[in-house]
Amino acid sequence: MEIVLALGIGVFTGTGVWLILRPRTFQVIIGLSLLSYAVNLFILAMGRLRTNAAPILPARAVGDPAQFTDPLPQALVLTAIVISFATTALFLVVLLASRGLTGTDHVDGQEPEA
Amino acid sequence: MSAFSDHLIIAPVVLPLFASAIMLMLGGDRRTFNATVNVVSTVALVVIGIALLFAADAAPTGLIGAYRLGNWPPPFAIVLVADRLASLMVLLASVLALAAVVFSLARWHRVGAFFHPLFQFLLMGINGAFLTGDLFNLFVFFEVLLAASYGLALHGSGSARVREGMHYIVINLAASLLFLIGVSLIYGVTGTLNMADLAARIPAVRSEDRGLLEAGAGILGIAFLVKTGMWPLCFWLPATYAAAPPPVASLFAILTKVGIYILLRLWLLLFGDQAGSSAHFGREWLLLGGMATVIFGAIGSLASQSLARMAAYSVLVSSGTLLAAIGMGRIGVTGGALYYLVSSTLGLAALFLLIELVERSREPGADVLAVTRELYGEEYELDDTTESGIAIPATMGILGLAFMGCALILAGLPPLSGFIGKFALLATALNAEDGAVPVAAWVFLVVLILSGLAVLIAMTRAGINAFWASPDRTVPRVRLIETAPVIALILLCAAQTVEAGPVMRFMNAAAQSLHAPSDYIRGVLGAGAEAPNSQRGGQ
Amino acid sequence: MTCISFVWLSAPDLALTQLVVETVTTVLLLLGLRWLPKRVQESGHANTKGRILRWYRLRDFALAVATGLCLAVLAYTVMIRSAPDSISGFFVENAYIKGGGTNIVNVILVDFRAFDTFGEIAVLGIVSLTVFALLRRFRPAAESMPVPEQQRAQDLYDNAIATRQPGDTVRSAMATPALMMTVLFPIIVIAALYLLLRGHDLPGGGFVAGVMMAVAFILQYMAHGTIWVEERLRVLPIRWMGTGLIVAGAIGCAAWLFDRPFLTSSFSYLDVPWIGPVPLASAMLFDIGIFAMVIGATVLMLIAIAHQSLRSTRTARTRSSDEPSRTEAT
Repeated sequence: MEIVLALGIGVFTGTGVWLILRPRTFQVIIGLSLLSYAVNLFILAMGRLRTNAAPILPARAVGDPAQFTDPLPQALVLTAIVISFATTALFLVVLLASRGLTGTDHVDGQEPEA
Repeated sequence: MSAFSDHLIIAPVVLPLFASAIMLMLGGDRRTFNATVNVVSTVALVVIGIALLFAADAAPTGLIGAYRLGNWPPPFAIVLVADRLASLMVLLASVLALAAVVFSLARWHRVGAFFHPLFQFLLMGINGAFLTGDLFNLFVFFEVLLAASYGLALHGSGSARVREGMHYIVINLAASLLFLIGVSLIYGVTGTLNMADLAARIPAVRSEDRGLLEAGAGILGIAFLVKTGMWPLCFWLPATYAAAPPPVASLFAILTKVGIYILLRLWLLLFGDQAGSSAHFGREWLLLGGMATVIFGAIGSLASQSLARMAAYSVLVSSGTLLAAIGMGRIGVTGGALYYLVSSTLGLAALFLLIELVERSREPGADVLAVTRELYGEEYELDDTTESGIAIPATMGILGLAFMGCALILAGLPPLSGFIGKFALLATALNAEDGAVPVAAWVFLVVLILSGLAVLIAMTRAGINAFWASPDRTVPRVRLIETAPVIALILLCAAQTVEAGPVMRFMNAAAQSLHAPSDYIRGVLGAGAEAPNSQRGGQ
Repeated sequence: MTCISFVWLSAPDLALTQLVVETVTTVLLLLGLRWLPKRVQESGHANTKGRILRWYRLRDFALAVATGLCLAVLAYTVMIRSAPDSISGFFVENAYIKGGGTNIVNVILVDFRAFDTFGEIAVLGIVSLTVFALLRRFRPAAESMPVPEQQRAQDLYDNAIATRQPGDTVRSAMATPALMMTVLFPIIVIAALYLLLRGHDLPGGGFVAGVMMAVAFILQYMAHGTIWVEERLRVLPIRWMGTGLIVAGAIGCAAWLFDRPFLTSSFSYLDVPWIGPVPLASAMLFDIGIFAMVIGATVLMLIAIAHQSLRSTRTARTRSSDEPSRTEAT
């Protein structure tokens, strides 16, 4: 189980980095999204993996930490999801504005021969 | 303490939040209303900053206390900690903010939408980052201040600004991702997010996990170093700071110092002398990187083709000096570094504002070096400058004096505070306890003096070009509301020189408590938890 | 896929949030696609340029593989070691008896670590303000300015037949979906409110609810067009944002009245006559503040982007009706 998740994180990261280094707008955004997925999964993995142990207390009483998966990384990931959503949206708009002003789609500043 | 002053610690974060909320609810985009709320709130922040400073100085361990949000017990709650250093930084940020906002009232707050709410949000993020004692909370406030800085850097649009803004955003997005990875690694290994708790747990980390801990800390460090502008991660800085609107650029002068503050706090807290086998982790990187940054900044300021760029490179020089000073890891050097931090930040902020005033009447490209004029002379675009203000007769005189003041501060020449700062740094660096001065200290001396020389040359050349060269130039039209902040900032530096004794005493006290983290740990976790080398109590 | 991983790894709240956030991101990207060029322009490169490009690609590939490998190895190394004595034990033990809720993650977000959530909604607000401010001065790229081909074809058709108005084709094509979306609106609103109210005890919460409501608004924009919706919009997004911030802040400050630090929460049970004991937590009000803020910020962002189409459609339409339509400007 851990290997699968680790591989998944690795693949997301690799693809994300590859796309970010591409010169064109849309690929950079998709790359950023993939990278943030990878980091979210990474944070979740730090809490160690458990299936079928969602952190919802079954009875209204004192909870037993051994029964549930670590809830703190989940809270961190939720915050991270929202923040990366916000920054992705901002980045998209800035890219559009930049494209409108400079007329080029190439984020690395190099344009194709006219 | 009375109930009111108990909550003083959180006021620097909550006040800007409410100010922005009020602006959004009632103001929408009505500039006069927003401007008033902004100025009132910033003045209040300065007052709060002063109150915090005096409270921290008066407290027995230099720590006012740990404010536990939600009233949960210490390692589980998010805590805000105000000690000498934190309150100093909050005050510094508020003072710069006041200068910037007063300057912007002349015309810059009109060039785009939502300047004032964004400004208050930026202050909220900065103050939160200075006061927090929890790693993930630090991340959240970092994001707040970054998001607001994106908004402000893009304020007013325009092709150069948007392009540089885009690069700024990309770099900081990458840094944020690294931040997250670092924080989660540290959590995965130690199980806590609270800084004081972390410091208590580090010596007890198993040796096979230590590599992971140091990897996490290293990744975290890279994220902060991007913000600080350490070479080779600093290529975005000059362009972004030069393209940003001037009041924003002057406030950005403190953003690099946020990174420095965090490095200082975390490095000394977590990897000080008592961290077991991880003690002084990474100090060579800080030293070397800092000095490389200084050299890069010095060369850059010599080669700059515009005043704004030169100022931006000076920011790098100041950051690099501080980084190298932190890397030395000695109490005296840290004290001198804090003094230098305050003086150079004030000087840089004044310079950015001043540059805008001076450049008003000059044609773009006036600073292009003769050697490059044929190559680059045509590239500059005109800002849309609407003439505001009257031509005060002594304007050039005042601006010239202010420019000279900034040059003295930044280059580190007597009689202003830059000199005292540099002197303090060098004196303590060369003053080894066991008589043998480390090689690093000598290199530091050479680099510092050469960089001072470079900055001096660059600024003198720029000054001559701006003020003496052309006899038939037009006098820039400036308003009192714009020159007043510049003069006020420079006067503050002068005050720092006159009161150098008490100020240095404060800085040394702050440095002392930084190098002795057990006071901090005890203050946050409560009297029960002793510092390192003791077993962690159960929950 | 990330969503499924979250469900698999016992993180229902995350799965929900990821799902709705991805929906909104997709809508955003689609709105943004309007302004990007239609096809990849690969001009023929000379041989040397081709070699350099290939070298760049190789370098990028190596970098990507290296980073992916590093992160995967780090993740794996941590996962196979035993967990340290973590602070989250406290949260699990005390979520109900001291926090008043059984959904531990939500209790962490709105109670134990509510200050983080404060900062988070601030980020959302800031970004939406920036997007709005940036798009006020937005000038789209020259080649994206003319009305898209599909729209042009529809306009030609509509203009050719005497009884039709421009826009009729779109309206008739959208008639059925529009009806469905209009009917869905109250359903989604109720679902969002349901998720909001049960968040403290079961997966749900302020964020998910807020983003869901925003999705409901977006659907109306898609179904009926900008003008129709804005004629009926009573509360401005900026007011939503301001209200959310003030509510959340006020809850935090209310603790000061009881001489407790900011954001201290409390909860109790209210005995409603026939329903029985109803749990009431002040953190619920905080969640409502988050809810308002998230709706305001997301809707503001989407409106700002959607308005660009409106503005340039109008100008481009008037332009394309007088002169022959232009092809790519480059």
